[in-house]
Amino acid sequence: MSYKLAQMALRSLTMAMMILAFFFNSEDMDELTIDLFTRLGVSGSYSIITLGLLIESGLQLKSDKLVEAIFLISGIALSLLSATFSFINFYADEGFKQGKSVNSGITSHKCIQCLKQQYFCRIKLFEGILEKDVIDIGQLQKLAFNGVPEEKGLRSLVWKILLHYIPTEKNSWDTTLHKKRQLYQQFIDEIIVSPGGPTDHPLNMSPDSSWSTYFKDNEVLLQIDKDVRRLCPDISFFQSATEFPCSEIVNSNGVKRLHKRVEQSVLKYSTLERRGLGVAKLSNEIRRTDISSGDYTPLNEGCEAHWEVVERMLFLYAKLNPGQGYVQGMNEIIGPIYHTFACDANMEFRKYAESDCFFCFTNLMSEIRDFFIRTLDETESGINYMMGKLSDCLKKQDRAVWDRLKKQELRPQYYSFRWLTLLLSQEFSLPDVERIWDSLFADARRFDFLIFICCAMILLVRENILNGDFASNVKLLQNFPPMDVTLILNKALEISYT
Amino acid sequence: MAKKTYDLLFKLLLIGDSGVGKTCILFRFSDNHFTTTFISTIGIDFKIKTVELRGKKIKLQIWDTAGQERFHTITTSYYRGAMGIMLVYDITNEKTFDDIVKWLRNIDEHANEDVEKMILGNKCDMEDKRVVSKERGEAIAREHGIRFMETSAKSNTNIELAFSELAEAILDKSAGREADADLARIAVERRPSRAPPARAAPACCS
Repeated sequence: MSYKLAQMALRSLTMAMMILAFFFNSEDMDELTIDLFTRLGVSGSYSIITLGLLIESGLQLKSDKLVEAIFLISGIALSLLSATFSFINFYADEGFKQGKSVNSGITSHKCIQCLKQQYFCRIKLFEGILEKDVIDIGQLQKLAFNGVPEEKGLRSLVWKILLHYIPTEKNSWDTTLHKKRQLYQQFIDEIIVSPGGPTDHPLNMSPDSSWSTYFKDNEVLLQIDKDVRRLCPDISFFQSATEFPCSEIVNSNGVKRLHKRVEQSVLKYSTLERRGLGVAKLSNEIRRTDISSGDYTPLNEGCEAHWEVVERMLFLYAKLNPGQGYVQGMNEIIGPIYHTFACDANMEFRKYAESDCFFCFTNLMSEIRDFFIRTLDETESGINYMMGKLSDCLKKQDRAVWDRLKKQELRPQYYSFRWLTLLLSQEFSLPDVERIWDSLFADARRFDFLIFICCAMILLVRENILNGDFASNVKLLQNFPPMDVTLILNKALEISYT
Repeated sequence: MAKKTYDLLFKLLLIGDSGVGKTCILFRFSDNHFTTTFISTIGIDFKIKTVELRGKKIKLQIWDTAGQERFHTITTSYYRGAMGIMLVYDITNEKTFDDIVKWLRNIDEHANEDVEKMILGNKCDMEDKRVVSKERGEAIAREHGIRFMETSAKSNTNIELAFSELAEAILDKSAGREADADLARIAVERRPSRAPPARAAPACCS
């Protein structure tokens, strides 16, 4: 009797576990198709067999062979059925992998598997292109347009090519990189490490006095310093230490550090208190040290945070491009490039992230610098023209939305100025920005696709715009809701075909 | 019309050098929070807050601008529609105070003549790093006939007060415009710039 009870308990336990397993597994409702049948079959058949034995042992049906047989046969049948389904399932999967029905809309479990597969295929494709002695830039653009994998430093390398920093002929990479990196070192040397320092006296009023240049530089530096300490505050990357600090600077006892030049220095003062004749008391005021800049505090001697590296690059850029200088927002352009380069899987590239980034940034700026120059606002390369282009695109795509915005006097400057100037870098999270930039950099007609993306963003919130008042619409466009970027990019692609 | 949840709509503008804390002031006012983790404002930003003054629901539409010179062409286009302008400097930074004059000139050039102005000396919690005394702030405000207040977005000092005072000044003015000329005379002691619209130039220009 006790044996039968034990058997009964064991079987009920098995059954409970089976049922539990079934419910836990089918939590994601996406899979309630073939997968469901498989699970239903397996757990069902086990349950039936168990139930049969349970009834037999529990109710002691005196080995009623017929009942047992019925249960057993139906159990086996269900098992076979489920096996068939899982077999079909497997093959459907295989077919999917071969790319017969690649649809990004499907997000089920099994698709993650094949997306992974697809992802590795993409890496292979990139490697195939990059392996050749002379890289086919057209092919690379086409491929990169749909996103560049971060793995193996691919994005970092592809951006360098797309931004024309390294040539398509592979055999000249080494010399190009060597030359450029040396040049950058020279810039650091001449402009930051040993600029000779001002030679005349600080009160020299002549406009070409070296002190007056020094003071003017500091003004630029002050602005840069403010902005790099506000770069991507939602991630810790820029506040963390770089693996490869500039040794001449970080070991200079603080003297060569750029932010030192613009640190607010308050002269120490002491108060002389006179008490009667000859009795004087000197009271020293002790001032607290600066902790106001939050986590963007400079690191100790020998170390350097990533934001300090960005500060240096921007200062060099401003010095080397005096006509343009530094404009707020450039930090948001250089940020994603530097982040990508400094996270390169390849150590050698990571080591030279700073100099490589500097030249890529310079190249990119040569294409968009007119957005940053006020006097060029009205020209064909200026920001107003770009905003006009976006407005025209929207008008063509969706007259109703355009009319609505027009009627509310919600001018494109209110939102698209920032979108376009910063290439959307303030609108999305860093990984999404990098994905968007893959497409932008791969766009042979830069920056037409940027206009399409911006237009797509508006179209994707069209219902909200049509129902919202002025205030809510400005808010919506200035704080674009989090959204799957592939959705936006696909929409942009759609627009580009029309 | 039935959807309207407010009685009056006031458009305000925040201007001043980069990094003086315009965005922080606005964030403190609209969300009652303070954080140093702000990205720099590019172009123009926007917030809404409804306040109640003298039994009237007033919707404040506040525009936050970028400080740097480059953005002036973009931002000055907002001056025209603004009914109130807050000019912010940083009490721990001499240059931002010196630039007040520049910003005032900007207002004269681009804003409506009867716009209500207010100067704010921000970051007054950082007493140990102060380089601009309160007296100097008051002096320049007096010189131009503008309201003045020292604020701190961090310690939440005078932020609410500054906005409500500016809103009240605008309310006074719009009430004055609606009222008859002899009614306007009653409240004359409050502010010289509240003269009837016939005399457009406010007393602050003298």
